[in-house]
Amino acid sequence: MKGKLLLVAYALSGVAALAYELAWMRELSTMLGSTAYASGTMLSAYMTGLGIGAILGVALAARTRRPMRMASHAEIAVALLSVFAFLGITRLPGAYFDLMKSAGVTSGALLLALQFGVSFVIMALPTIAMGTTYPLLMRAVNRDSELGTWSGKLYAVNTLGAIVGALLASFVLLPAVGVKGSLAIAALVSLGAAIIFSALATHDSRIPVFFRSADALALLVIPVILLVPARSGSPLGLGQAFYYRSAADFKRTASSRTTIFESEGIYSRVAVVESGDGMRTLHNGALDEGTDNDFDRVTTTMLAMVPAMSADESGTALVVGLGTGFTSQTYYNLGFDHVTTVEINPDVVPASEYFIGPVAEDDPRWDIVVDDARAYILTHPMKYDAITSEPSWPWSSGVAALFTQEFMEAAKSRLTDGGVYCQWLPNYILEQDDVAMMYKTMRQVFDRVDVWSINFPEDQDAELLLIGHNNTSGPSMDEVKGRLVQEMIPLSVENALIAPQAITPYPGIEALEAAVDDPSVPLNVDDHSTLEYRVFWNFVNRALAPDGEQ
Amino acid sequence: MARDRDTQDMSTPDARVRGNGAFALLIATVFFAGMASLIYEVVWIRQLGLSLGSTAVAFSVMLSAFLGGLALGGWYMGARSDRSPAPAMTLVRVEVAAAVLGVLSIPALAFAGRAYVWLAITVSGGPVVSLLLRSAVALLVMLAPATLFGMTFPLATVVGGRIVAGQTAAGAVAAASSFGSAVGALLAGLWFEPAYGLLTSAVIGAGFNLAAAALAFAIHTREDDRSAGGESSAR
Repeated sequence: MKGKLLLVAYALSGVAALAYELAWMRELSTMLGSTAYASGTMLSAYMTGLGIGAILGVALAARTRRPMRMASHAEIAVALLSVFAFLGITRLPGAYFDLMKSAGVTSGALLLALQFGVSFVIMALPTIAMGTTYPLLMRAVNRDSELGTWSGKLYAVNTLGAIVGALLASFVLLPAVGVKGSLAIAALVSLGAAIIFSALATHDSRIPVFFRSADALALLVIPVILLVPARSGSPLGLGQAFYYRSAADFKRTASSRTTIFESEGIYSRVAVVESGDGMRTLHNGALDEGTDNDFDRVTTTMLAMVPAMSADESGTALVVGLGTGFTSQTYYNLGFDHVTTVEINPDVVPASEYFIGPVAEDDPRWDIVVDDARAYILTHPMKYDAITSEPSWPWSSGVAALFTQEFMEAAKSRLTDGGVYCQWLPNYILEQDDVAMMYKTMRQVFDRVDVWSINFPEDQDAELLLIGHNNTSGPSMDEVKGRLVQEMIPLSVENALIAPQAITPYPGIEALEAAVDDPSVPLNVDDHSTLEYRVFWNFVNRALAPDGEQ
Repeated sequence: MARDRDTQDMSTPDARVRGNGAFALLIATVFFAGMASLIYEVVWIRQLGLSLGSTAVAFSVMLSAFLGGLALGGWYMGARSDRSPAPAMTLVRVEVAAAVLGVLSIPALAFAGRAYVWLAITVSGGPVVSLLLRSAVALLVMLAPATLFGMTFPLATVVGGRIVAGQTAAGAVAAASSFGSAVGALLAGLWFEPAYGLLTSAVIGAGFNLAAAALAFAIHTREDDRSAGGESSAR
């Protein structure tokens, strides 16, 4: 009975551990960015804390006569210290942002060290406390002849608990009660484990209400967590480094904004904020995913108009990434028979209505699918006249998979004979080599690729549209431009920037074409999605360098 | 009892030196094994995500398959490692098998991904069928190697318990595994994947498994030496 209770308690400890981890990482990724680098540093910081805790646990186990009681204290410490971790997370973004900016991070190693340091500072104390539990329990079991049996059992139940914790946090706690509520519930689970450990320490296999006065204080952890104000509205993190010079600068701007929509979901916190001049911005985790300002409207409109004018037919369109919804809406307004939009984050769907307004759910021409776009394209063999891929920045792993040769091949297989594939490229954050790599990659899939520049008054070639033709005999770029001029005349009334001069053939096409046969230019493929990492470092160089291009 | 044997083994300076050396080897073994497991975790979830998708459901299925394998391995090998006459040699076999499966995992994952796409189109079911298919694919590919990784923990603990006190061994193995995982996560995310891609990262992971196997073999040979030394003393 005691053995089973011990395993149950350690499983609960595993449940709580993963719930804490996912909640902390949710908040930290807003600060650090959702990149492979950030994931690696956060996970590493977490594991480092556990390792230090295990060493401390060995020392404690050697000194204590009551290891089970101490394991109970360790679980209580985990709950209490998670309050400090949460306080740190809510207080740290400003300090981290200013440190990052003022340090003028010119060294990649320095930035990554800073990210690791921030993660470790946040998670160190509770993870160290977590790490002490296992050696203390092994000492409590104290059966050298069953060393393997108990280490295997404890390891197994704790890992099974971790699975439950991961599922619970991802699908139930974070969407239902947010980060704060998730941490409070995780703390309750830790306290549950502490109660069982303490009961076992008293050699009483029943579970009475036995809290001693000192332990009872631990219950305060729950109201304390709930009293800490949660973050809301615009997040301050790596994604904002492009736009603000300091946390105070950000705070001044953010204070004039109103949050008109907010949802904590299974992926991130999605919010729509409105600034004093009426401009709306869509936040998705660490990034600004789009706005309704003139510049973004030009891009999101062109992402539908250019492929629509390049395709033979205007029957069906597929848009990868809903965002503000303007691209899908443009396809719709251009008269496509059916527009399918694939969006991975369900919370973006209601948020988009603050940009394009409500759409009738039973409209047979409009369909929003909540799924991974790549998996959807692979597993749904429909044909489209136009496919536009406009996901977020390719610096996160899931998004990076939508910029590779294999994804383009999958998209091509879903095109009609005269269909086109439109790839958005944020040229403002790319180097010439990156554009060459992406052009070469796309030319492996399509025999004909047109490259269009979106030009703003003070920023030529700010964004690029690469149009891959399934059939090389489609309309020439001159013909496409002619069609665009015709279509843009009525649209230009409502937005002065949506004008023919906003879109021109890319001037450096010869250099791009030369790259196709240049073996030194890599391809962006699934096995090695180079673009993901290059975009990150380009961002660091431009947004954080002392003389960064802001 | 193991404790008695430890006390006996560590009673002379020579035995202590041999014991300390073996324990250091064990810590390095577990460290490398921990590194390898986190490298594989990062690589597998990313590779499988290319076919199964990057949705929260798909990620959870993959993470659960990986962690489930670890738990299964720990549970399965727990009592068996206590009964094993040569746990260090068993550890060698486990690490070599993990290296082989690790290298094979990337083509297996690519094949499994294509199989999933084919099945998803052919079966054409709803979200539940899709979830079941994803789970089946993730389990099929990840369960066996992850189970091997899970076996490392109790095996290494038992090996350690024959060198130092049981509780010390247990805590040290846990610490080494955590630190190895921490370094593995850093190397995979910050260096191997960006610089070399997925397949090469998996091969590097297999290299760490083989390094762990070599170290475990060195411990095994020391155990043999100690056994032989003990027998000759008794004679």
